[in-house]
Amino acid sequence: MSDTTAVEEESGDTVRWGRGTGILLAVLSFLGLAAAFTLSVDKIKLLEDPSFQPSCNFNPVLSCGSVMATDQAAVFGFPNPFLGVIGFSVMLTVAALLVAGSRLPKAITVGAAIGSILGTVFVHWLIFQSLYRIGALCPWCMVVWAVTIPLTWWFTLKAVDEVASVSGVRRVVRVLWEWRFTVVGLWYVGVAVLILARFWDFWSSNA
Amino acid sequence: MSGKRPGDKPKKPVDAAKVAAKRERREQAKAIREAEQRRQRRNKILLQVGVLALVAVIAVAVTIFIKKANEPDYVAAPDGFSDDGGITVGNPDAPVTLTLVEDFACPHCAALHTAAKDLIDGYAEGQDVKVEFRPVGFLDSMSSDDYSSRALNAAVCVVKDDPKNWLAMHDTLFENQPAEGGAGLSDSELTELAVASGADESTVSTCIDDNEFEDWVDYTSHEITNEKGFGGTPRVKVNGKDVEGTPDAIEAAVKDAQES
Repeated sequence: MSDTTAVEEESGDTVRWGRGTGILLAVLSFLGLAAAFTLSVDKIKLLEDPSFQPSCNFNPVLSCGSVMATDQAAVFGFPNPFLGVIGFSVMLTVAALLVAGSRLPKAITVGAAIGSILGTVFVHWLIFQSLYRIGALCPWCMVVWAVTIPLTWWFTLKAVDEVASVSGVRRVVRVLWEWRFTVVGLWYVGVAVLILARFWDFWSSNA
Repeated sequence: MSGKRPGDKPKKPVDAAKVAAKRERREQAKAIREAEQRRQRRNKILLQVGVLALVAVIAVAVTIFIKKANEPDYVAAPDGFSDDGGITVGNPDAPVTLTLVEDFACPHCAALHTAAKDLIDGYAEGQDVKVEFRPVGFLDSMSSDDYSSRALNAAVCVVKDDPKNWLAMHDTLFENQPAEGGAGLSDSELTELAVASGADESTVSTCIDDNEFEDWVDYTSHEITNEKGFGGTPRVKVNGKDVEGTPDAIEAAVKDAQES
């Protein structure tokens, strides 16, 4: 018994998703959902009472009040976090299936990958806006950035691995999958360095 | 012994021993294999973590190095300002000094201005307390057009024209503070405020358009915001001691200073 599972783990001829991956994806989705929901609620409170102080106004740089009031915070004519509430709910449901031990149908994996890629493109546009146009960081938005990147990476690799028929592509996917934590970590480092550079005067003056 | 066929008995012990030995060998082999797998997995994780840590350290170090290298050089203070970036209003020989470190783009500074305007005007007109303003323009990242430092430059332009208009310009900048994020007031709007504060239009408009004191604004902002104990604006001090930024706290600290 233990022999066969060991062999299975080691052979690694596909991107394997077990219960552990399901739990990780569920936790990430839940964090994204919680952040998007909090932002939605704060947005509504802000509309009801313009003097309302959102739960994440810490200092001039870390503040969502000023970020939430911008045009970029409602690109499609409604507050962006509404999209997050929908998207992360779907992700959480899919992750819950994995935790329960289901194998995902190929179409669901591919759909989740496409959805999360669109989410990542949007998130990176928001990162750019936040850093270089608005000039403030919204902590709950950053939680959304942080969970969207690994969710996308995991689903995209899994989807490509299932769809691709070229063995070269799958070999690349397998290496990327092995290095997935490092890749996501490097991604975080990249964004962190941009933030450090952009808000250097503020950070260094508070040190 | 007698009732059994020959061969039966010798065979069994041999088999059992063989099986046991075989099992032992297999388990040893398995243990070695698993140890090897564990070692390989550990090495892989160490490599992955190592690569990440190395890149992170290098990226942060390079960023800090570049930023440090770009720190502003010394620029002499313009007329009207002391070498440590202060401009003082009120009786220069007053025994008590109220120091205000403010940024024209800082909402809390505008709030303090609204709350404490009468108190501060009273000190500026009276004989007992002088008010030292040490303005900074360090919140450029809060607007899309470097409003923080442009606003301070405009105020310095007003001082260049005539130092006695400083307080009026200071007040009007806070009273017309633009919202956080997005664009701040334009150069022509700043010029209008400067003229309304009593400055000569032809002098200040070129000074504001050219951002004449940009370098000094960079320098003094960097110096003041890196002073010990700086934790954001507004920073309020009475005779050199940090005080909470509320009118009540300021008034109480000034009374204390006068009594001692």
